[in-house]
Amino acid sequence: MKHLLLLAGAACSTLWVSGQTPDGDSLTSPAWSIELPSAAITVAGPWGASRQLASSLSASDQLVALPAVRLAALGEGLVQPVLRGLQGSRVAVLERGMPMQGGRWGSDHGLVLPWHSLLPQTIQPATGLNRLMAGGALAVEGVPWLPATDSTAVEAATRLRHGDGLGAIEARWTHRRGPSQTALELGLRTFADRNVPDSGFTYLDRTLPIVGGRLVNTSGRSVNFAASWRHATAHQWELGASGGRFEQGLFPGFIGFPLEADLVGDAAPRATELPRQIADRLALTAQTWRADGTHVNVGLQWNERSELAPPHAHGWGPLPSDDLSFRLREVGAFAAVERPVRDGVTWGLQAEGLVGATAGWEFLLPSHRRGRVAALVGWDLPVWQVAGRIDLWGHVSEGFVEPLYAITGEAVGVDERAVELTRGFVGVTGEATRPGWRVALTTRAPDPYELAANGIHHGTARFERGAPELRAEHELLVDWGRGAWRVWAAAAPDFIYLGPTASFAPIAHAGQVMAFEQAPVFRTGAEFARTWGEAWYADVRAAVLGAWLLDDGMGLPFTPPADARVEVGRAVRGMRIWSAVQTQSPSFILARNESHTPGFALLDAGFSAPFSRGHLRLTARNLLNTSYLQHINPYRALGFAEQGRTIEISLQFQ
Amino acid sequence: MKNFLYLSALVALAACGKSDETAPTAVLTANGVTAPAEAEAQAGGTLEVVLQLTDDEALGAYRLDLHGAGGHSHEGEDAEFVLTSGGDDWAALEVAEAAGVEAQITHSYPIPDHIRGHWHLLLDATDATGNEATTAYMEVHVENDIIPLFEVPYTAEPVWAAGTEQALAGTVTDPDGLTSAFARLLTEDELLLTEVEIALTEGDVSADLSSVTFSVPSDAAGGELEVELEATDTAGNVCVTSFHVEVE
Repeated sequence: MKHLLLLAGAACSTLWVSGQTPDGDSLTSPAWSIELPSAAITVAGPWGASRQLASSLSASDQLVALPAVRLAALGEGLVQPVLRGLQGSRVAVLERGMPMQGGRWGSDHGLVLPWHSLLPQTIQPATGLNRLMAGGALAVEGVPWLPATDSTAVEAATRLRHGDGLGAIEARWTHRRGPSQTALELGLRTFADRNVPDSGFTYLDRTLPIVGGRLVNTSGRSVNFAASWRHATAHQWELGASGGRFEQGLFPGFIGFPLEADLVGDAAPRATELPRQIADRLALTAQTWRADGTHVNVGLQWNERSELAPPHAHGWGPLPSDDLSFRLREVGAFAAVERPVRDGVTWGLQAEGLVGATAGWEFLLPSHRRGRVAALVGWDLPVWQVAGRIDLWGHVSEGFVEPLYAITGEAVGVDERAVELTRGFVGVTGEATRPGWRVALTTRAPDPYELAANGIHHGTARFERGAPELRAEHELLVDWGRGAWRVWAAAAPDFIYLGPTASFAPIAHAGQVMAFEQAPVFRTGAEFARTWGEAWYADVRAAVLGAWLLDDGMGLPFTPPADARVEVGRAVRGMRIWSAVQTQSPSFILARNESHTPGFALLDAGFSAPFSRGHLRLTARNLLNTSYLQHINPYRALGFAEQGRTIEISLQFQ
Repeated sequence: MKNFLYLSALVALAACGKSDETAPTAVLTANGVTAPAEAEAQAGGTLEVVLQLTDDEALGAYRLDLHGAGGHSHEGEDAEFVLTSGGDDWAALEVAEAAGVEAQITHSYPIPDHIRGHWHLLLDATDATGNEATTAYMEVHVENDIIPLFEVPYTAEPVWAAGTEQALAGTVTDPDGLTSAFARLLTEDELLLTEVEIALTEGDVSADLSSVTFSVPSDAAGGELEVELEATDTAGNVCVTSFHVEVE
């Protein structure tokens, strides 16, 4: 539900994608085109094709190379895409047309997308009315169609990385017979403790050592599978299933106990059972496209994320009796239909529901239920495309109280962590697009976390509190792009963001309370991407962004500094050798209490070459092992440096 | 495009208001000493803490945090090796609102009879807008004339080799006279490996720890062990303290 609600407002900062429909029709949008038809992503749109994006293999590497996209990550599994600097929000993800669940708590706690997929993936488009239905989708995973009928393809890929140790293998079997295609996919990954060139971190003013220059107990493993069946005639069907399990140790500093030093003796990957996080997910989707253009899409999802930790009390209460610190289980259903009527007019309906249940001895979020229905209409005019949507949201969350303990262990009061809440929201969204231009008015309802959270978030290491009185958020966006340039501006009178309050959490191991609030906000940015040359080439991409609270002139939290990437290389007969410098300016827009982040420059290099049945890639990142901080990473405030030097070899077979 | 950027900048600048961006100040005093100097305190006595908060517009809240010094440091200092008794038995957390532009708040904390060592005292404060003051931090040294005193010559956690015999160094003293003293070797999970009674005659005011020798398990390499020391004086006062040992 969270993601769909994000979708509703995502257009204000949406990465528009386009690509190919399952039957091969090309779709375009005013922004980018992202597809992975073979070993690499190609990017078209206002910037033209980019050679740079072929320099590495994983989807995360490819996406983060786009000027407006950044990833905030702590370790292999803690990946969160950030669009245009909006940490933790406005990133909409679809899976075969279905909004991916996971909630804010989940989205920055584990792998919600096959970001690291080594095999070709089709990132399906959300264009025109579809985009409005989705609210602007980042990506939809999928397996490309085999080019010929009656064929079978077996693909496999491996990846080995030194530095931030990683081993991964993926395999896919795809069979096309006539109009039907079946695909089965399996991936396994294992990764070591994160390689951090630093010696300590600070939490609640306490400085704790990082022994050996690595974050202990951040290693993990994952398995993922996907299966799909498509039948494409005049009446087209697609059935899909995907899921997986992800496990990663939780750096003990986040949990509070035990301290890292207590685990040094068990620093071997996965030798420590606790603390640990586990994410399981299963998604089932079905879509059909009728010859008259009607598209029906239904889906079911189950997600469960758990944090397991040595029993400890935040405060002085009795120790819990089990290891379950926090668990969020979400079951969601989604259905949508759209149907063209006449003269380029299409209408659509959407409905979805979510039941979220939380458990564990460390409260963060109450159990909740959400529902949404929407009616949409789109109209293709000679030059402009216009579309509109009306949403009705309903939200119910439960109350939660627990005793408040004194240092003596006595209960001295009641800590009301959540109040029962029933809210409804109405939203109107509309957009008009034409080549080069997009104007959109969006409405986004606050999500369950923004309304009702009240606890320590281990993804941000802060005490975060929802605000039950939040209203729906509205924003007006104007976006213009031509050639290598793209500029945009957005104004919101009631932007929802997380800011510091005048209060401290009443429990130990928590500091100043961060709470969701609303204020007028103005955001703007400019992005540039261009490639010169063929055999010898240079690729430059850069972005600068500003985001301010209008009532006090201060910045929004996590507003990214300006950044640029310059790659030069030589390409001969399919082989390529390249070197790149990635730079980021010092932070120049800061939110209240936000600390300054120095700038940095990183040196990367790589080589790739085809062979008879595949492709080889060698990639070295952060060659000089520079210790640097990423402003948009929540862990930066704790002093965690970013990734050190890595050297990687990737092989893809077909 | 230039016009677009100019318009964006103008909208932003024209619409911006002003707010309180000045952080409050927090001054922390304990037993008459002002942070960052170290405060002295006596077991069985009290720690008198005075907070002075100021802000140019309006105060918000404060957080006073007293906790044992083990396992971490503050303000970039290196963690000290200090033998502490009762490190987890004395702590306090005060979270409260503050009003006005100036506030002086006092707290008094009785100090248990059986503790000794270093504690950390921190004061955080916000103003009504959420601006956070620079943390005021000080160490509190708790002396104890009641319980026996263990002293060891280490300045950091000792490193022992697995499979070797290791003798302790240091003394245990008590002006009232000692009745018994023990040294124990425990695993990381606090399972008892060895207990050795320290040689002394009842009434001795001091004893040498060098009479204690531990066999370091050969399978402990790469981990940690804990040495626990316990002594009782003739008045029945008990001191229990411990330190970690790295095993290579």
